[in-house]
Amino acid sequence: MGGDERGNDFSGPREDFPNSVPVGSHAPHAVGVALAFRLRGEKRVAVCVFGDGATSKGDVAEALNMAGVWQLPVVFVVCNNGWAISVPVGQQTKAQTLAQKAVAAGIPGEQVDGNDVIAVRWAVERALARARAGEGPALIEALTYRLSDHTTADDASRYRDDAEVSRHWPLEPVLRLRRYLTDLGAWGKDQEEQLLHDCNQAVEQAAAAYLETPPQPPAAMFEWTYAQQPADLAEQAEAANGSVMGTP
Amino acid sequence: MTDVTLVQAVNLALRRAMADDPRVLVLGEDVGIDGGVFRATDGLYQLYGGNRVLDTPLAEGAIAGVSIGLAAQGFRPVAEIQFTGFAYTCIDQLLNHAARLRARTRGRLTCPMVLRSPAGGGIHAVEHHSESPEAMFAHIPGLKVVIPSSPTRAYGLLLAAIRDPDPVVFLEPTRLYRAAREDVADDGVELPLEHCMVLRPGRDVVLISWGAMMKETLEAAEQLSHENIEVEVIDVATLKPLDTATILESVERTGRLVIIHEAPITCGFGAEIAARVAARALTSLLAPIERVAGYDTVMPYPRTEAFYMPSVDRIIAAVRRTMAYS
Repeated sequence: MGGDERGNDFSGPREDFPNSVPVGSHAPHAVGVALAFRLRGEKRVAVCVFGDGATSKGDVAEALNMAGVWQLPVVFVVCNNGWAISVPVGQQTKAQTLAQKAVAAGIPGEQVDGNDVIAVRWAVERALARARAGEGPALIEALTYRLSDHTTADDASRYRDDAEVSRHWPLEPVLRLRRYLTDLGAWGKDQEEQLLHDCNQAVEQAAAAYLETPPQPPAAMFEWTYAQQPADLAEQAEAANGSVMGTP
Repeated sequence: MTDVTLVQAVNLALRRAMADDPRVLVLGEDVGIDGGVFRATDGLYQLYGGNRVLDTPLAEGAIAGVSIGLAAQGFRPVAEIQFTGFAYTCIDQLLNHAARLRARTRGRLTCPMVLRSPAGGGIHAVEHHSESPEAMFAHIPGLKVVIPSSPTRAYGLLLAAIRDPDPVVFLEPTRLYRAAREDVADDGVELPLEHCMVLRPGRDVVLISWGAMMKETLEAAEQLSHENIEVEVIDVATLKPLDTATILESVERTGRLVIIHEAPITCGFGAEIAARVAARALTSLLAPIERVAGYDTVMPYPRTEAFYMPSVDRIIAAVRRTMAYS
């Protein structure tokens, strides 16, 4: 996003929601989108991703329940990395698994090895096919592990052992995929170097494009609040423009 | 149509909007076969079926959230929250998502939804069924807040709210649902959300209110006219965005202002009107601005709610204070 709302005006897919900063409150939106697909008779599926912490929220329970009642084409994917900032999943729930959260909603819930890219693809593909065929929603709990700090502002050494983190590194999904593809003879050093080079270039280009994009004029915050700027907001914009705006 | 109550006018507007635009959907608790606990959606399910009139599970937050998903997909959901006491969980969805979707995505996604709810007291209801939370909604950038005060205005304003490209909270004064009947032309003509409405012209003092309190406000104006005090009465109707110009014009002409609302006085919407007038028309004022409002107490139970609600007498007393001020 880079501190600029235009980061959410992404070129595609145009219908995707921006990320939901308040955890889990986007789950009902996916139900609404799935309802829209069904009302229009489209063979499409809404996919909603959240973390283990979000499963403690009422929004998620309400969304699972409503999706179940209406048997909507929506797939919920819980990325269970074991930690919601400093709180381990054992302190989020006494349920044995997060997939069980689907049980009370009457929809299928399953666990998948979230560090196995191929297994995740298979599980999601099956859930999508079911939903597309009109067989209703599903919940997939992808079991993984948060190897990094929560954010650059977080210091995970305050609440978990390095030894625990070290134990999970060998299960890191890219390492496993590389090993698997290399064993198959489908992947090699040259290809990996090329891929890393391409990715690096794409990131550098995106960063350069961002840095070359001038910030929005201050008036933009007024322009995008409503479709048509109300008179009282226009007055605020004008007053602001005459005072300190333009010299941040 | 003749002899239309406010709740019937809401129903007429919903019927008209659904007939005109297949994107309009109605959803909420008991809105389907039951037609809503106040019958605002009566007959819609029978007309349009379960795909356009959806009985939801009992989850107000998700009703608002699902409406956001539908609206972002191009539908025009009209969600009913059974009572405003249950609407507070919706504030998370409205504030964090609906009202800022346009701004966050720079117009890529928008949220043309309406959240309807009966509001206000004086109906001898149980707890949580009588409050007036309009100021909480009016504090949210990107949202519009509309409160009708008559069947005609309910019809025209609700049509405008449904057709509006941005999210609208539409608070229907429960006390007025069946209090009066009017002829309502079911012509599909909307009323603008940009203007306050001057219901009565007057030269001495202006009374500003909205919703059910218009009843007491107009009654006070009528009584005062017998004492040769000519009262102008404004129905704000759309609280956000607020038509400041109409209010300022009246205050500058009369020099006296009394604001009336049921909600608790502190940080009530009257404070915003008073602040705008003080900032822009201070030299026109001949007396301090008066607010006749609910108290900063929990809304009392029915046996004492009459003491809480602004009465005709309280309004008249405030007007007398402004007239006597020198």
